[in-house]
Amino acid sequence: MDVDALPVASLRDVTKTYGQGDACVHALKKVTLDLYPGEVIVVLGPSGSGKTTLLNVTGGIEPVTSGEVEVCGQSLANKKPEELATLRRKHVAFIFQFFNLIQTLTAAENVSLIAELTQKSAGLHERVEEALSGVGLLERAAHFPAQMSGGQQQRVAIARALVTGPDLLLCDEPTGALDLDTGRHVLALLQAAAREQGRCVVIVTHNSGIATMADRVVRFHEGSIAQVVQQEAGEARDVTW
Amino acid sequence: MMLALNEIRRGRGRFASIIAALSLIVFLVLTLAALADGLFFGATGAVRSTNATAYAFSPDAKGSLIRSSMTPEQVREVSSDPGVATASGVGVLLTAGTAPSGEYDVAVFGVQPDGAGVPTTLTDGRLPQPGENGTAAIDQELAYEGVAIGDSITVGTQSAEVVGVVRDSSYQLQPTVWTSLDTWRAMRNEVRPEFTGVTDDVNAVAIITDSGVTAEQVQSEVGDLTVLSAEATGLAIPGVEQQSSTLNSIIYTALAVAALVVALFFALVVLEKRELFAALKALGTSTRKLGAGVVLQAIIASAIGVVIGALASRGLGAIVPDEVPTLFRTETLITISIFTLVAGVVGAAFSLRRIARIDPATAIGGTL
Ligand SMILES: Nc1ncnc2c1ncn2[C@@H]1O[C@H](COP(=O)(O)OP(=O)(O)OP(=O)(O)O)[C@@H](O)[C@H]1O
Ligand SMILES: [Mg+2]
Repeated sequence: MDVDALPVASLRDVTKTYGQGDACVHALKKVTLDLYPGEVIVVLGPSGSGKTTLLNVTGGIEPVTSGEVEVCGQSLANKKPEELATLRRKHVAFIFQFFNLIQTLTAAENVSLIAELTQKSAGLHERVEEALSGVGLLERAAHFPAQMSGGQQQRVAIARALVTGPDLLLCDEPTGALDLDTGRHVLALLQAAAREQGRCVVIVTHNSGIATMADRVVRFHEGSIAQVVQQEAGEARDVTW
Repeated sequence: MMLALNEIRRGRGRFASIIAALSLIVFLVLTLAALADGLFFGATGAVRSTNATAYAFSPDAKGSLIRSSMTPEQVREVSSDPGVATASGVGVLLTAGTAPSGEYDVAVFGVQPDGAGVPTTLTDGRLPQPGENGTAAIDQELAYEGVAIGDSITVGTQSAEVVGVVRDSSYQLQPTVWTSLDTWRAMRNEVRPEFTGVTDDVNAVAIITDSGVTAEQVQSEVGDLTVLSAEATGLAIPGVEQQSSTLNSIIYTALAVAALVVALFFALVVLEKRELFAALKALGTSTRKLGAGVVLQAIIASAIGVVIGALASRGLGAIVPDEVPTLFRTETLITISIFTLVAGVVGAAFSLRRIARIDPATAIGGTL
């Protein structure tokens, strides 16, 4: 992690409120957080503490109620949905708990789908192969999601996320549907993306065992940051739960 | 786009159902259209395929050639009206004619060869010449049935030698025989003895208007006569307008059903893919791209439906008996293909709002 670098994303006094009046829920309360290139941040907290909401507002998927979010130097305030989509395509990628691969597309096609939208087709094929071999699935390029294990599908999803070269990788329970061994493999890939490619990786989880691989651990409690711990990161392949 | 294409390629079973439904509708529409065209063209050829731009009828005739009856003075009057370049009498007789190859129901048209109301669709031989009696040009349909140039067609004791063939000239679904006014009148007086002694009447007046002059403008000059454009004369033939409008309304309904089928299909597809679309949006796919994919799929499904439906309808056309007047026109095929594609796009467009409303946030965090 490069402490002198500009943050990839920064949140200033971000509040997110759902609903109105009596039914209103304060999902985030005055959250301030900077995310730097090359770091792995693990966000922990009980259910309903605002972890997913944090990812949503950081990725511009939901507007904030108040406060300021900046991604790669651009304020997300007053951006139209299509502009936000473009910004995400260029700078942000998501990893979902349930992979969300397209069943009718092969692994390689899933990986090239989003990249196709932004990037020149020249060399796309090579970049897709590179991304797949990066997650160790080159020989599965022509397989469909249904022919792969959960861990393999999540690795395809990581290849899909990384192929566009995002600055920020937002992962919501990426190992939530995986067993320990496959989970470690997936986490190691995410850690490598931060260490070797300088991407900022945010991992949201219930699972405090994962915290050992983080450069920074952020604990949420009822919509606020309860604790931030900067630490010497362990190896992802050593995490346990 | 790749996603849209691959889905069709790999999800053939599911797309087969929408394509089958569209094919059936296109088949129905094209077959009805062929029938509509067959009826329309078969009924109106004799007034569409001539050099006349309008026809004048006696006041009580309601625009019907057969009901109308006019004197030579009325013909002369019409020809002297401003805006009328040429006007000449037309006589019509629905009767049976005998040729060497058999007996046929025919419509005998008496026209003035150098005047108005003369067919412009000669395909073989020649038309009767000015002043020439006892010769005729026949509709192609009679030629198909075995009547040839050189044969004579006889009505009563009057006959005419076939000297030419014209196409698309039938009248009320009967093939026509085009002869001089005198020959027509001689035949008419044999079949309809009540006309014995009448030597100079006609049914109506065919008009070639000066360029830019409309039937309505001529109407204002001719007093109590009825003037209709050639097209309106076709529609005034009994049954033509009713048939066209009935068949056309069935066709439009079927096209609306096509749009509805496509709309329902894609509404289901989008409903089923909510989560996936949400994820793709989270990953930065725009609503526009997702919508374009759905519209592309609709276009492809409609296009395949058009091809299959068109082939099936042509197949049916090849086996229906000749008495059923069907006409497969390329123009109709093109129009209906375009309408079907538009119906498909309109149907798919109903899903666009639904796609726009899918919230990318629902892709993230299983807890919501
Ligand atoms: N769209 C929404 N409408 C209303 N309330 C919402 C919405 N999204 C989230 N919330 C509420 O906001 C709070 C924070 O939700 P969030 O999903 O961020 O929690 P979380 O920490 O991700 O929980 P989990 O660990 O269960 O995934 C919760 O109380 C939740 O019910
Ligand atoms: Mg969550």
